[in-house]
Amino acid sequence: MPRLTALAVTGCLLAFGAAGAAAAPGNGARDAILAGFAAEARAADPGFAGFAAARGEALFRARQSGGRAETPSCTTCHTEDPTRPGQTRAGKEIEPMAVSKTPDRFTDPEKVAKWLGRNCNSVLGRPCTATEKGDVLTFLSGR
Amino acid sequence: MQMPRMITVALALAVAPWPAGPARAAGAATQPANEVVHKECGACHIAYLPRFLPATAWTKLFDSLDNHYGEDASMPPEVSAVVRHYYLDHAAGLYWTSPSTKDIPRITAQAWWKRAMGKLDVSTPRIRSRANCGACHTHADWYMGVR
Repeated sequence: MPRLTALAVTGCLLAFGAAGAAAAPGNGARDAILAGFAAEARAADPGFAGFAAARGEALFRARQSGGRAETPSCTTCHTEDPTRPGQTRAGKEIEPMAVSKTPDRFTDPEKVAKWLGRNCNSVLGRPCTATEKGDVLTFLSGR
Repeated sequence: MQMPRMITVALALAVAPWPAGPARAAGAATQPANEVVHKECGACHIAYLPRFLPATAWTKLFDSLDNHYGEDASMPPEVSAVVRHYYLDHAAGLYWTSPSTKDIPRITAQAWWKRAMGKLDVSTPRIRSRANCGACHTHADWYMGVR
């Protein structure tokens, strides 16, 4: 019985993996992620009027006080210039966040959810709203 | 009559994909545990070797991933289970660990690290942090079996 369960789980994972690989990363994938955030933002606020790169930039550069002292800002690790590589606090290089430099940025929904989830908690001390996520992605996609 | 049935059972067992190790049991069946660890831990720092700390210290670390040295490093439960199993399975034996540091999830607090690396100068931007083994040990990931 456990073996059957393991087989079923393997099958599901393989199926998901194949589906994931079929969707070629590119602008389409990034647009879909942004569209998801937009739908979420609209659901939270019927007056939502689209994402703004300027708001995203302000959030990206802002120094926060609600999160952890070690990570007061996105720029702590990603630097003030998103077209340049960043560095984790443990010293490992992070590829530039700017889409012009790292073209596959924000094309993997799982990766986006994972890192926005973690980093909003670290920097802001709370999850980001869909509007904040979309604003930052819009800012970095234009860089 | 007995014999062929036994052979059939033996064959079935031999061919069946028995879950091998914690990675499969936890559901991340498509990827070996060392690659999961390399991807998850290695995103921010080298994937430190399990034998750097005893299981007592690793347990403390994996119980507090939401505040991982000042950052949220939480993982989905099915992924963190794979990583935790990998580290506990290969952790340092207590024989190699001073009782005074066995509960401290900090590699740089271990006596062997201090003896070997205590004089490390981390003021250069290239190194930046005592956690940045990879700045000099450029083959560090090789030990995880991942190149």
